[in-house]
This record gives sequence, structure tokens and C-alpha cells, in this order.
Amino acid sequence: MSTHAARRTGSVFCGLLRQELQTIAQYRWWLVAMQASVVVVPLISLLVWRGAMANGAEPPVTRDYLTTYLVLVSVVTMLTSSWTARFLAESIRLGHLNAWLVRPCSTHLVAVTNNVSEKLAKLATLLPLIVVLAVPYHRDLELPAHPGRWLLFLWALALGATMMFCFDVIVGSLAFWWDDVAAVDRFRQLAAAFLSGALIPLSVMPTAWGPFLQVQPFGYAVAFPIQTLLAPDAATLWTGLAMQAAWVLLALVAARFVWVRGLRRYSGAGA
Amino acid sequence: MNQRTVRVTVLVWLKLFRQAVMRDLQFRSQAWLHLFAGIGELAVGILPVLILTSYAGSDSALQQAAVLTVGVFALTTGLMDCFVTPGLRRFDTAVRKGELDLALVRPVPTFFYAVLRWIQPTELARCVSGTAILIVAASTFDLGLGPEAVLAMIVWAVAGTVAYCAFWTDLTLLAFWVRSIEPVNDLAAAWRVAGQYPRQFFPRTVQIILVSFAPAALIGSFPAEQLLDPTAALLLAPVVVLVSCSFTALIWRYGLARYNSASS
Repeated sequence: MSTHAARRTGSVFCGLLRQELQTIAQYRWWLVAMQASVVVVPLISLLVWRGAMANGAEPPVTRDYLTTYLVLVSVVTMLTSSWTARFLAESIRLGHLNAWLVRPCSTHLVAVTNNVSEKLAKLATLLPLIVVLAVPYHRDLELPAHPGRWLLFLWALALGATMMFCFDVIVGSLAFWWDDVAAVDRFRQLAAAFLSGALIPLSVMPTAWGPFLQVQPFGYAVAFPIQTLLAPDAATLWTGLAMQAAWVLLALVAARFVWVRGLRRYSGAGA
Repeated sequence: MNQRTVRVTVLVWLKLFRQAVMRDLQFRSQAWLHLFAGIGELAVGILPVLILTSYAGSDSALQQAAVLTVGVFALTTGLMDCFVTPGLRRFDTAVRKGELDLALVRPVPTFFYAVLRWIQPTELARCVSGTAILIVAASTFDLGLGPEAVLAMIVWAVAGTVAYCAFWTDLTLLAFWVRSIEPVNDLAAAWRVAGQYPRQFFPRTVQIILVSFAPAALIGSFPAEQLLDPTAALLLAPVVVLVSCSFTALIWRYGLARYNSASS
């Protein structure tokens, strides 16, 4: 990409970002209700796991680990999530994609902007809720003080978000071949919710599942970024970082392949 | 409501159900995928409960309660997601875009037409799975359930389903006052997850909330407890239904008085 093209893309991105943020600002209650729903499931998990441990349950992790994990999980899930598939499929089905195909920037720029702007707005709403959730358990929270760990966490978050966005583009692009991809998207979200560690930490899942959980991609979107903060030794994270990078690369290549193949088939109204 | 309105309402509902089944038969592959996804959601819901109880030691009563809770929860949420929640999820849009006008001019109760006309028959697969879980659990744990226990469970499951639907509706009806409140549906769906865990895992205050203000326990753990120990007075169940429905009717009445669509 030339400097001129990069500058133009940056300018379009900023314009779209401003537009998106203005739109979101009109729906403040939408944002609050949405983030409240994001916090509720980890809150329930936190209550029942602590309740079970108080009643004698002995999971393979400590109470502090579980508490910190379940307090952080809603933020990490929100920051790495993506919701483009449904809208992308709709734009392919209804021919709205045409408008973006003729513009001198990426067709996915609007989805990226929507993703980034909503995450900024959601973060502003979610953080106070997380603080409220964390206050009663602050004695059991174990967060690292070393800035390197937090940088690693941000890096893992960025890669996790990129991977989930690519998966979303792949599912949405299936609309080039199928009329309705809602059920496939539902399956993907289902798999992601369970295998990412968004419902319960992967470390409390049965040990026999360990090898599978280590190679499947969804864990690198939620559980792994949290692990970068909670692992006792940073040296143990290098394998995870390499696996995450490999999955991101694979997701990028697969998304590009499916998108390019799909575009060849595209014949929206006016295209 | 007079007798004629009741008859027309029942006839309309039967037609709507038939239409929903025909729609699913027309889009068969999607219907199958949604059916499997519904069962998958059930499995994803069950696994955290089973994993949690697997660490809870050798307390067989707790394991029985957990499995029965999951079965009842599947049954009640299957009914909800088939008949009630699809309409509730569309309600915000109906108010925002003035589509509620269409329900207001029909010769059937407006609430019925606005909320209960959207049906997703494939979600009933979860009811079948839930029933299967209950039957297998009863036989595996050799519970020897008596008719009074089964009756108490059914009565409280029905009352709980109605009460939770009323709670969900109360949240959805905020659409009359607040612009674009659609995610309250996700909030209600997320909160009901609490119903699939045995109640004793929650702190006392949360347990009280779970059987009163936000009655998630009434769609899972509480009816399941009745199977093991049918002690709760059955006469309380109609009271729960009456109170929750009356409160919803009140909100509906006030909300409808505020409704001011594009065309009205």
C-alpha cells in the first residue's frame, strides 16, 4: 500500500470512527443494557464457583485465580469479540456490498471501524461495572505489577481480536454461497463461548480435554490473554504466543481466500 | 375478554403455530441447523454445571440436584424460546418503528398479538432433551419418584416459566420509555442461566432474588428440588403467577398509554 493510499484509508477510518461514535452516543441505554448482560454470566459463574468452593469443592485452581479470571473475563471477551458476520452476510445478500466495492478503500473498513468504535464505547461503560463487581472481591484479586505483563496482555488481546474478526469474515462470506448463514454463525458463537473460556476457565475443564483445548483456536481469544496476566512465570507463555500467532496467520489467510473466492461469485443487484 | 374474543385468539394462535411449522418445513436445512444449535446450546449450558459438580466431592444429593436442575431448565427454556422470547426480542423494534400499530388494530388482545405471535418450533427439541435428561436421571439415580413429586415439579415449572416470562416482559416493556433497549433481552437471557445451577451454591441474598424479584431459580433449581423433596405448598404457585402477571399487566397498561407511533 502506497503512502497516499495509507493516508486516505486512515482519513476514511477516522471519519467513519467519528460517525460511528456519534451514532452510538444516541443509544446510551442500549450500551448500558448490553454491557450489563455481558457482566451477568461471569458474575453468576463467580458466585457459584465461590459458593461451591465454600461448600468443599476442590477445583484444580486457587480461589484467587478463579476470582481474578472471572472478574477479567467479561472485559477480555468484549474486547476480542466480533459481530460482523450477520451484517456482512446481509450486505452480500441484499447487494449493499456494491457501495463498498467501488470505493477506493477496503470493503472491510466499515466493519473494522464499527468494531473499534463500539469497543471504545463499550469499554467506557463496562469498566465501571467491572470495578463494582471487583470491589467486594478485591482481596482475592491477583494482578501483576510488572508493566511487561500488561504489554503482553495487550498484544495477546490485539491478536485475539484480529483472529475473531477473521473468523467472522469467513462465516459472513459464506453468504456468497448460501442464502442464510444465521445457523452457522450461531454454531460458531456457541463453540467460541464454550471453548474460549468465556463461561468457565479452560483450566478447570477435565484434564483429558487438555491436549484438544491447547490446540483449538478459541482459547487464544479469551483464556490465553487472561493467562498472560495470571501465569506465575512469563517464560511458560512463549508456546502460547507462538500458537496464537500461528492461528491468527491462518485465520487471515483463510479469510482472504474465502473472501476472494466469494467475490468472484458475487452478483448483487447493480454489480 | 368475552367468549368470542377468546375463540378468535385461540384460532389465530393455532394459525400462527401452523404458519411457523410450515416456515420451518420450507427452510428445512436452516431448521435442522437451528435444531442442532438449540441442542448444542443446551450441552454448552449443561457442561459448566457438570464440571462444577464434578469438583463438589462425593455428595450424591448435590449431583442429583444438579442433573435434575439441568433437565428442568432445558424443558422450561425450550418452551420459553419456542413461544415467548422470539416475540419479546422483536418488541423493541415494534415500538421504535411503530409496528405495534398492526397489533393494536387486530381483533385479538394486543399483548397476545404483539408478543406471542412469533413461534420457533425447532426450540421444542430442547424440551425433548430436557425430558430425556429427567427420565434418565430418575432411572440412573433410582429416585423412585412419586406422582406428588412429579406434579409439584410440573406445577412449579409452569409457574416459574410464566413468572420468568413476566419478568423478561417487564424488562422488554421498558421500550415504551427508553429508546433502543433491545439488549435487555440479552440481560434477561443471561440472568436465567442462574436457574441451571443448584440454589445452594449461591449466597443467601442472591437465593432470595432468584425466587422473587428475578425468578431464575423458578425455571430450574426450584422445580427440580420439588422432585427430590416436594415440600413447597402448591397453592403458592398460582399466587406467584397472579402477582407476576398482574405487575406485567400494570406496566403494559402504563406503557401502552405512552405509545405514540409514527402513524398514531
